[in-house]
Amino acid sequence: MRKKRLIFALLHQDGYFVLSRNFRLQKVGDVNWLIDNYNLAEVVKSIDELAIISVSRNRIIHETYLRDCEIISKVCFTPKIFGGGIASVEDAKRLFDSGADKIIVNSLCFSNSALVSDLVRLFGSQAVVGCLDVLKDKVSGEYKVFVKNGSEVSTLNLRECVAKLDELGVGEIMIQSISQDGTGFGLDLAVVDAVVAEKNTGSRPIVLAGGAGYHAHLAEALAHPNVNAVLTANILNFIGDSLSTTRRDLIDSGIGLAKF
Amino acid sequence: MIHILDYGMGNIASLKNALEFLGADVRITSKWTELKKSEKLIIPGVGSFTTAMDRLGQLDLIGAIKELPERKAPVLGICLGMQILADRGYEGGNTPGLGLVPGEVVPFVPESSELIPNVGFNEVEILPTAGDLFKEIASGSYFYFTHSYFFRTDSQGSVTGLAQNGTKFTASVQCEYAFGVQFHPEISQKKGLQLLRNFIEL
Repeated sequence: MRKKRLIFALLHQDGYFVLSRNFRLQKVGDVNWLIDNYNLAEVVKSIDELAIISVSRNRIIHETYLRDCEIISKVCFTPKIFGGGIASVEDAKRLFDSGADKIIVNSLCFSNSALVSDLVRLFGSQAVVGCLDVLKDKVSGEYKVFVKNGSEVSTLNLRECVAKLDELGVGEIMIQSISQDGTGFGLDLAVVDAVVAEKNTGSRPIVLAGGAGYHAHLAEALAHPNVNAVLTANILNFIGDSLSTTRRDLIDSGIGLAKF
Repeated sequence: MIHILDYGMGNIASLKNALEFLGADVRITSKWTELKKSEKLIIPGVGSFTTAMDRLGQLDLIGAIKELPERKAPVLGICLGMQILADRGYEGGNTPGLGLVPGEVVPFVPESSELIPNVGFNEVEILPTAGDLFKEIASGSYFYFTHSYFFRTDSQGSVTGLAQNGTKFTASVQCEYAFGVQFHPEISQKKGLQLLRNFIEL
């Protein structure tokens, strides 16, 4: 039986790690704080994968980002996903050299799909995660896809965007709910149903992100048959040994997670 | 000292990080002159079988790699690095492998596979044939897999571990000094580190 995954995300902005709430950012500390005070090396032992996403405002791969990815990679022995601001094959190479096992691409799938195809060809589909930022329109009830760090609405609808990721051959599809982001109000399972209803996701795993605050949210989302993984960036809710406890509780409640 | 073979197939940063974390003296190489003197070699790799063998051919490394187990220097193939230990592979053509472990590398087929590619942490059934590479690792431990082809062999004595993807497939092999693991120990948490520690201590 295929295992579900708990993915933990760190957001990095120009030398600092930040928390996001409805896509607005708050500083929490630098890499030393994360390793020394937050005990990151211990915390990552309770997760399936670690994502470190650059949310630099100038949308480039920042030197401090690569440096911090490298530092964290030396103490984290689980698959790592890096990304945010990839603009060339060379950028992707630098991420892999800094310890990435997979990279994540978002707006790039639409602004430069040829590059995404190249990344899939060069590094393999298993190494490329395609991400969609979605927001439910309050009036029409339809999901809209946002690009450029959530600042612009895509001209493509949800169906067309999923079809695009399928065509590009990314290995996994991540759906990030903007309205739930950082709220801790729970994950948006309806968006997964909407994406799966498009029937063009192939057999790709779906990663759901945005809104997981507590154990119950993770349990509810991971129990959904079409959710293969949940990504949470709500790190302050998981201090001390609460993440290892959460993992154990999820396993005890019947969620098929790997036992490390 | 442990050499990591750099032949342009996938990233080696995670592997180097894990080995150095365990205190190993690691050297990355793509030179046959260094392989001739190597005491222990890890062949990593992500990509296609044929491309991998072509690269090894271009770098003139095939002979030097095959000599290592002959002179009792352990070789560990990881993922694609394990697959190319076989006699033959069918990814990207019909290509002879290194021939260090009997078998051939064939694709998962949708009829009998749960997932293609097979990605994620999977339980590994460790067989009695498994030696010191699996020391202190319980059968049923989880390791991280990501692959679409698998190692098929009639040489049951070479298979040291099995995993499930709809049907059982070979998760690890050993033929004297040639070792192979289909999973990635470098990103398989503490059990993966234990396996690498075991290889360091062989």
